[in-house]
Formats: sequence, C-alpha cells, structure tokens
Amino acid sequence: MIAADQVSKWYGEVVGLNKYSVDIGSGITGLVGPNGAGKTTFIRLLTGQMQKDNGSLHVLGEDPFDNPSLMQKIGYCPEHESLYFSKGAVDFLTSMAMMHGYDKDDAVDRAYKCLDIVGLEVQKRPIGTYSKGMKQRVKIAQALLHDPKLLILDEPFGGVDPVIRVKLFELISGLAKKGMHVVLSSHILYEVERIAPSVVLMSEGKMILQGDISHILDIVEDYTHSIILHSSRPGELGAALMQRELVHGADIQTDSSLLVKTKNPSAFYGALPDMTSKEGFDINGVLPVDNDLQAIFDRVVRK
Amino acid sequence: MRSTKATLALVKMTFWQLLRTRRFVALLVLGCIPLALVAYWAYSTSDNMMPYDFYSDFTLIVYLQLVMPIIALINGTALIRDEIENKTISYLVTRSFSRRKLVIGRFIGYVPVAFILISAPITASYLIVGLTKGGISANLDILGAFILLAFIGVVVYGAFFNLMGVTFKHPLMIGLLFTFIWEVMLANMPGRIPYVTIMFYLRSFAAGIIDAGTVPFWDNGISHWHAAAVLVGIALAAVALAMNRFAKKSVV
Repeated sequence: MIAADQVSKWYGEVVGLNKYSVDIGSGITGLVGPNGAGKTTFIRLLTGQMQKDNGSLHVLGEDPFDNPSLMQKIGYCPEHESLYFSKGAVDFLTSMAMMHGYDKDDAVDRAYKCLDIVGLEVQKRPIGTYSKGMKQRVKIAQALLHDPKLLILDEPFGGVDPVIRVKLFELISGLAKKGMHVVLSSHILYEVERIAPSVVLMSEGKMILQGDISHILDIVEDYTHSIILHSSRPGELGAALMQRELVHGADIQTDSSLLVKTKNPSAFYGALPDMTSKEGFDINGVLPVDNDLQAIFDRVVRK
Repeated sequence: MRSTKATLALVKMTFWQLLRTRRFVALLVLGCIPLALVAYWAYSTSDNMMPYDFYSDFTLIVYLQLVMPIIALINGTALIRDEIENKTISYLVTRSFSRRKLVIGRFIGYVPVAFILISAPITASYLIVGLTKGGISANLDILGAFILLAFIGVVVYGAFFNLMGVTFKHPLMIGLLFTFIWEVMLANMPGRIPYVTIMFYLRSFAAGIIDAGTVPFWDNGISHWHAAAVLVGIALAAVALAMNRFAKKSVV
C-alpha cells in the first residue's frame, strides 16, 4: 500500500526524514514516535503536500505529489486544528465533497452521511464555535466524504478527552472492518496499541522498528511511564488513580495538571474514559512526557 | 470530468469565501469613500467643467489608479497565501484537482469579487454625476469603457498579486511597495520608464477608448490594441508562472 525507499526531506539544514524506508501493508498501521520524529513530515509526503528531496515514494502504487487521481483514493485528516471556521459543518463538508467532483445533491448527502459516521449531530453554528472533539470529528468526516481506500490520520487523538478518544478508536476500528486501510500517527504508544496491530516506530527522521505491537510492548513491559494529565481537580484525580492502583506515583504540577507514573500503561489508558464518564473527572489532556517516550525508544533500539 | 467539476466547485467556494469576509466589507467601504467627494462636487460646484470630464478624470485617477490596485492587492495576495498561513491549504491540495487547477480556480473565483468591488462605486459615481448634472443615458459609453477597464485591471493586477502570494511569504508588504512605489512613481516618470508599469498600459488603453476629460492625453503613442495585448500577456504570464511555482511548492 505504501512503499518508501530511502526517502529524505530537509527543511533547510534541519532533517525531516533521513533515508527513510518502510513498507506499509493493509489494515491499520500506527506511526509512533516522539515529537520531531518525522511522522507529520512522512504523512505530508504521503498526501502530496510536500515533495521529497530524495528517494522513491509510492502510495497505492503511485507518486503522491500533485496527483489528483490518487487523492480520490486517499482521505487525509491533518494534525492541525485549522478548518474553514466561519462555515457550518454541513456547508464545509458539502464544499469539500464537491471539490472531489460530486454534484451538489450528492455532496450534501455525503456530508450528512459522514457526520453520522463520525457521530456528530448537525450543527448550524460555525465550526469556529465547536469544541476540540467536535472539530476533530469534522476533520475526520471530511476525509471520508469520497469513500477513500486509504485513510491517513495525523495525530487523530491529540488534545481530545478520553471519552471522545474511545469513540474515535471505535470509529477507526469500524472503518477498518469495512475494508478501509488506515495509517495513523501518534506519540502515544499505548493509544495506538488499542487499535493498530502493526506499528512503525520512528525517531529523528528514521524508522527504528516495524512490526507487531505486542512485540514492542514486551520490550518495554517493566518500564515506568510518566504521563501528564490536565484536569481542574488534579489532586482528587491523583488520589483516585492511586486508590485504583493504576499509578504508583502522582505529583500535582500546577492547578490544572498532574504528573503520574505507571508501570501498567495499558490499564491506565484503558481506565481513563471511566474516570471521565463515570467518576466525573474532567480530563482535558493526556500527554506522555516526551523524554519518557524517547527513553522507551532508546530501550527498543538497544534491544 | 471529475477534476473539472471539482475545480468549478473550488471557483464557487472561492467566490463565496471572498464575498463573505470582513475584508470584502472593508474594501467596499473604501470604494465608497470617494463617492462623498463626487457627491460634494456634484452638488456644490458651479464651474464650467463638463460633468463627464470630471467623472472620467476622477474615475481614472481615484478608482483605476488607486482603489483598484488596492482591491486587487488585498484579495490577490490572499488567494493562496492565506490558505497556506491558515493551514487550510492542506484540504485543498488533497482534493481531486491538480495544483495548477487549484491556482487557476482560486483566481477565477477572485475575479468577479474584485470586479464587483470596483465596478459598484464606479457605477455609483456615474449615477451621482448623471442624476445631478447631465442625465444618465447620455454617456453610458463612458461608463461602459470604465467598467471594461476595471475588469481588465482586476484581472491583470489580480494575476500579478496572486503570483506574489504564491512566491513570497509576506506578499502584502511587497505588493504595497509595488503599488505605491513602482506603479505610482514609475508610471509618472518621463521617457520610456513608464513602459515597465501595468498602469502605463491601462492608461494607454483608456486613452484609446475614452474621449472625455484629460484621459486622451494619456495616449503614449501605442495603440489601445497594443496596450490591451500587453495587459493580456502580463495576466497570462502571471497566472502561468503562479501555476508553475505552486505546482512545485511544498505548502507546509
């Protein structure tokens, strides 16, 4: 599906991708790496937004740069939050569908259908007034309008609360079950674990490891993970997590953030939606400490 | 076929996008400010100047040499650059049209918006002069000629500023310098220096088709057909260059 061979991309003197080679097959694949690993650069090359400096890159057998016929087969959800904020969701999606060549009536139908798929109620108000989770769903909806074969999602879970995350996991898994191939990036290994059986680990513009996620998780099994949670009640949240034995350390960083340490990240991430929906904690952000992820990578590389 | 329909949808989206901005309202207000001067002149003056001589000179100097380049500058430089700055370009380059069609589609969507912005006050000032001084129907050919000039102007300047938007990171500043230093100063220099400005050819074209006020004095020895050909050539070259530059550009 995706074949990259010795692909390099430079931003002036800064390397984005350094002789990057990878083969990505069908199903869901996660691109995982710390900030600056080159995930977004790779995705921008895959979606024809940038031109590679060296190497060869093929998506569904074609060069992606300035290739409109390939874009009819690819759905892309960017990392950034930008949208046409003054438009309503239906209006925005209709315009986006029409720019894939659909007639107005068909485009409107597709807009409503995709809003239904992503579980977003039709809103007349402008997108600029939506919550982060709603915007994220609009972004995913615009990527689905033309029934793409391959869906490319750049940090789809970034900044959304744990409940929305679970809904997005279900959505992406559901799309994959219907036969859509998905490539998604994340800097949270345990987030990808829940939906992607196959991962590509990236660091500093290079591929570190590719394969079955369980193998990678075995390598870092006994590692202590540090994660920052954003909540208006960090003290109470920390106490609740300690009581559930999901974490073995919790430090209040600021009035709205908490640093926790856990050796069981799968259980920890799995419990967060319940902490929000059942116990009423407002968890607005989940952010692994970046050095921590780098340490995991170092360990994977060493082994 | 699918790509053509997609490009037409882009044209439509661009048109409505530009029409529904605060920028559009601000430029409409800018275009209407000189109407106050026209109205003041129309109601207060008793000099012997023929009303359509005044109208022609005023429209050429104020609207075609000042307001129109500003309208083209602000909209033209924003066509691609604003999408890049706002990051919404990522939605456009992943649609079912080529990058070249993206540039031409945005440009075609811009033309009617800029044309509305400049032709509306030109028509309004004609109506003010006509209703107060000489009757509306007598000199419709002059109005028609200025409307044609306005159309050509927004196309040529728009194409040029769109190229700036594709090429430079801060095109507005460079465009302002171009508008007020290059176009205003060089176009009024002696000798052949004005030949390097767009305004020279617009004025030459105007001199060939408008026989009122001081407009015919801008006849610089080249025919209005020659001037029109140069203007069309500038517009085509600017659009083609913008398309080619954007076709190779990394947009993030």
